[in-house]
Parts: sequence; C-alpha cells; structure tokens
Amino acid sequence: MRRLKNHLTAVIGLALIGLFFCPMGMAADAGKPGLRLENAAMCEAIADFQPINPGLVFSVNVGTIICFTQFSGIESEISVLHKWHRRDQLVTTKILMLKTPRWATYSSIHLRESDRGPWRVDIVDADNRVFEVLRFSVTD
Amino acid sequence: MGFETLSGIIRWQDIVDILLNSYILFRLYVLFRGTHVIRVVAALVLLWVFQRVAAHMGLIVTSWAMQGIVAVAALIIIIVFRNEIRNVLQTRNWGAILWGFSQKFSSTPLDIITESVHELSRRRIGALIVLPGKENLNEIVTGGVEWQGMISREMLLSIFWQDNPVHDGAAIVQGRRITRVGAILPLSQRTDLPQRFGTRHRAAAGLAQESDAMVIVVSEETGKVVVARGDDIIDIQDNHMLALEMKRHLGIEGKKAQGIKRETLELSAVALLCVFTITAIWFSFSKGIQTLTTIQVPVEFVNRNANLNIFDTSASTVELYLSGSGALIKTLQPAQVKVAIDLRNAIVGENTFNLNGHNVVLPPGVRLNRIEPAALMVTLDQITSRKIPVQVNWTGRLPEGLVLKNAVIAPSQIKVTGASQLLKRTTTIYTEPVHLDKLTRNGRLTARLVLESASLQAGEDRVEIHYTMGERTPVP
Repeated sequence: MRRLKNHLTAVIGLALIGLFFCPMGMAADAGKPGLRLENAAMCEAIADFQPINPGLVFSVNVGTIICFTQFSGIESEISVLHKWHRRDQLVTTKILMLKTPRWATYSSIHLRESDRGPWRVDIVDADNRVFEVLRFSVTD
Repeated sequence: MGFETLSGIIRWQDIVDILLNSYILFRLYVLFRGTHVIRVVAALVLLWVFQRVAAHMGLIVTSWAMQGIVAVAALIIIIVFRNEIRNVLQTRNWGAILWGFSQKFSSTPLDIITESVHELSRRRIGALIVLPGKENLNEIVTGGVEWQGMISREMLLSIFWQDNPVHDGAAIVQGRRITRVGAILPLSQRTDLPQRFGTRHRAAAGLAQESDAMVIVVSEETGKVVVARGDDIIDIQDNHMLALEMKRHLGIEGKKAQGIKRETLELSAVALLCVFTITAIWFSFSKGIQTLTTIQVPVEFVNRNANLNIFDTSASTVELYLSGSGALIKTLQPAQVKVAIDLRNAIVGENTFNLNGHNVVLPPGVRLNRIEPAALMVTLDQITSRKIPVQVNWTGRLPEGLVLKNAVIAPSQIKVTGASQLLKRTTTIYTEPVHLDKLTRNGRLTARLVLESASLQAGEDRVEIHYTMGERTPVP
C-alpha cells in the first residue's frame, strides 16, 4: 500500500512538472495522429528523466546544453529530429528514436566561446513538420 | 583603293554624316555671306588653329587663353550677331533658309536714286539716303515716320525740301519703296573725319560703321555727294560713279550673266571647301590613330515591371573595353556611354543577362571590344508581408544563483514587409541585445527590434518582455 502511495506521488509529481513546463513546452501535434510532444525544454542536465535548470539563457561556461523532449501517444517506433540553429544558421541535426508508447529523449551540444548569441532548436518529425521551436541564448 | 577597302573604312552612315554637315556649313555660308558673321567665324577658326598649334608647342598660357575664347565663341557669336541671326531667321521662310539662294539682282531703281541725288546736289538740298544691306537696322536707326511709299524722283526731292518737317532725317530705301523718312542715325565718334563734315556726314559715317548699310549724303552747303560704307567715305564725282557704288553695294556690279557665272563659281568653290573641311574634321575625329581605353560604367535597368523590385545584382557596374580615334577617346565623357539591361521579360528570382553591343550605347565612332563581366545576374522580387516570430537576444551574465525560466514577448510575432526572397530567408526577428546583469527576479522591459536588412520594414519597432526568474538547482 505504501509502495503504491509512493508511486502515485511520483506520477502526480511528474504530472505537475509536466504542467509547469506546459507554457514553455506548448505540447503540439505534428503529423502523426496520437503522437504528442508532452514536454520540451532547454536545460543544463537531466536527472531522473527530468530536465535540471530549464531556462532561456545558458552561460557558455556550463559546457553542455541539452534539448529535452518527452513524447506520448507513440504507436510505432519513429524518429524525431532536433535541429540546432545559431542565428538562423543550421549548426547540427540530431535524429532521435522514439519507442512506444511514451518516450523521453534528448540531444546536446558542447558550447565553445564562439557560440554566444541567440539559438533555437526546431523539434520536427521525419517529414519536417514542427512540434515546437525552443528559443534561447548562450551568454557569458 | 577598291570599293571594298573603302567600305571597310567608311560606312554609308559616314557619307551621309559628311554630306549633311557639309550642307549645313554651306547653308550657313549662304545665309550669312556678306555679313560680319562670316569674317568673325573665320577669325575664330583661325584662333582655334592657333590654339592647337600653341598646345602642340607646349605654350601653356597661350593655349589656355585661346581655348577659353574658343569655348565661349558660340556665345560671343550669338550675342554680337543677334541682329544678323534674327534677320536671317525672321525675314526668310524655311525654303529660303534650307535651300534658297538670295538673289543679288536688286529691284532698287538705281537710275531714279542717281537722278534724284544729282538734282538734290544741283539745287544744294541736303539729303541722307540709306540703302540697307542684309542687317536689320531697326535697333540702330531711331525715330522717323514709317511710310512705305513708292520711290520716285519727285518724292525724294520733296522729302528733302527744306520746308518738309522730315527733311533733316534720313530716308531709308528698300527695294522700290521708301520705308521710313526723318530717321535718326547714330553719329560717328571718329576723329579722322574732315572738318567740313557736319552732322549729316557724321550720321552717315555712324550708320555705315555700325551696319552693312550704304548711306548717300548730299551736302547742303556745297552740294557735294559722298557715300559712306563700312569705314570708307567716298567722294562721288558723277552719276556713273554713284551708280557703280550702289551696284557694288547691292552686289550687282558688272553684267548680269557675268554676275551669275561668278556667283555660281563662288558657291561651287565654297561647297567644295565645305565638303573638304567636314571630311577633314570627320577623318580627324573618327579615323585618327586608334586608341584603346577601359571605362567603368554603371548599369541601368530599364522596363522593370512595377510590381517587381531589384533585390540583388551580381555587379552594379561593368567595364567596357573601347577603341576609337585618339581625339574621340580623349573627349569621351562617362555621360556619353550607357549600359542598359531590359528587364521586360525578367521573372521573379534570378535572371541571367548576357551583355553585348545591344546593351551598350556609345558615341558615334567609338567601338566596343569587350565587356566584363560578360553576363550579369539580376534577382527580382515582389514585395510581400509575413508574420515572423520575435526572439530576445539575451546578453551578459545572469545574477548568481538565478535561472531565466520564462519570458513572454508581446507581440510574439511581428508583421514584416519586404522582398519575398529576403522574407523567406528571415525566420526570426531579434531584439537588440538585452543585458541580463541588472535583471531582478521577475519583471518587465522593452527592447527594440533589429532588422537584418534595411529593405525590410516591421509593423512594430519594439516589443515588451515579461520575464520570470527561478532559483538555480545545483547540477549533480
């Protein structure tokens, strides 16, 4: 009973975290019916499948930044793409696999001194349909 | 030199060019012959030749001064000879200007004038009779009474009869009519005139000096007759001499047939001289030593569709490699050369135009050897509008222990107007750098928008940012 209670607390906690990130994540449907982006955030690290210090500004000194995404309604194994842009110039594209029925995944880049400036990550499906665009800045 | 060789040097346009200008020069001579204009033009030509010689010899100041005079020569001719020019243009019809020859066979009844002058002299009646030349006397002669009466011996005698109110003035004779009586002539300021000459003689000398008219004077005191023409004062001994002077003035001296023959010869010689002169000028301009030059010319785009804008061009100027005679190349002005691209059939996007002689306008005689670049790419675009998301360009360093968790931008999208290709490439509108250092926990600020291209126009120039800070969690 106690174990069940602990599990319930964890689920409610996750749901609350999901709600907290909702304005930033703006879970959206791409092309596939049922496939949903539940959570998306830029963060410094991931712990227990959750983003640590999600935000809009990252110091170049943190070393690595992560684009965290969490999907639900996955009916079969599919891929999504994280397209990293610096000042509208495509820097890198990361292809990530999603497994049924719900999956959290991330991509990351190592920051260099020259990476300061505005960035964005387009989260798209294989057909380039946009789930969400995350905008942030790399600063001092 | 065979015809083929000649045709390699001279085109049919060149022959038309030479003949046309020769004819214009010839007509100018015909219209202005006998006036001072021809003499002055000849003097200016001489001046120009001196200037070229002086320049060739390296006489700097002489060349410079003569060049200045020649440069304003056209203005000098127009100002000084405005009367002659007006006379030619006003008193003749287009046919006379373009192809007519003035008849030198005067209708002036010389015998009537001769007899009248003889009678005036015999009776010692003072008289002043003006026979105008080609120049208009309206601005020189003042006063008097317009008349237009047919000339006769009795009429002339009565005009100068001492009880006649107009007897002191001059009578102007044109053709068979006395056009004006009692006219006042300008007095000569010459100091070399004989003491016996009174006002009447001075008036005759004054008009003769200032115009091409001939003036007959009958002295009231002595009855002597003199003729004033140009700077000359001629004593007339008898009727025959007077008739001869009048004929000379009117250009009808000698027998009529001889006059025609002489005139035909004179005009033929002048026509040949005109052709020779223009041919020489043409050769010196167009067929001198061949010179090469390179000039950079801006490209003009013509016939652009009003809905399309030029968004980009691979080059805005082109280099033209030209050749021609040294004189032509030396005097070539950038304004004389044009490079134009016809955008009539251009489409939205990139258009490539191969450049050739059809795109280039050159002064006659200058040839185009090469164009660089040989092709030009022009990108045309339409003006459209699109909503583009705004992103804050954060800069600086966040306060210690804080994370910028959220920022709501209002408006989050901006309507931007500009060339469609440029808009297509523009995916984000950034704000000016927003410094993080002074941000508090939560707050609001405004930031200006920075457009990537000056050709873009945004509906708003700034946005409002509501930001939220949070505590930083130590990263494990």
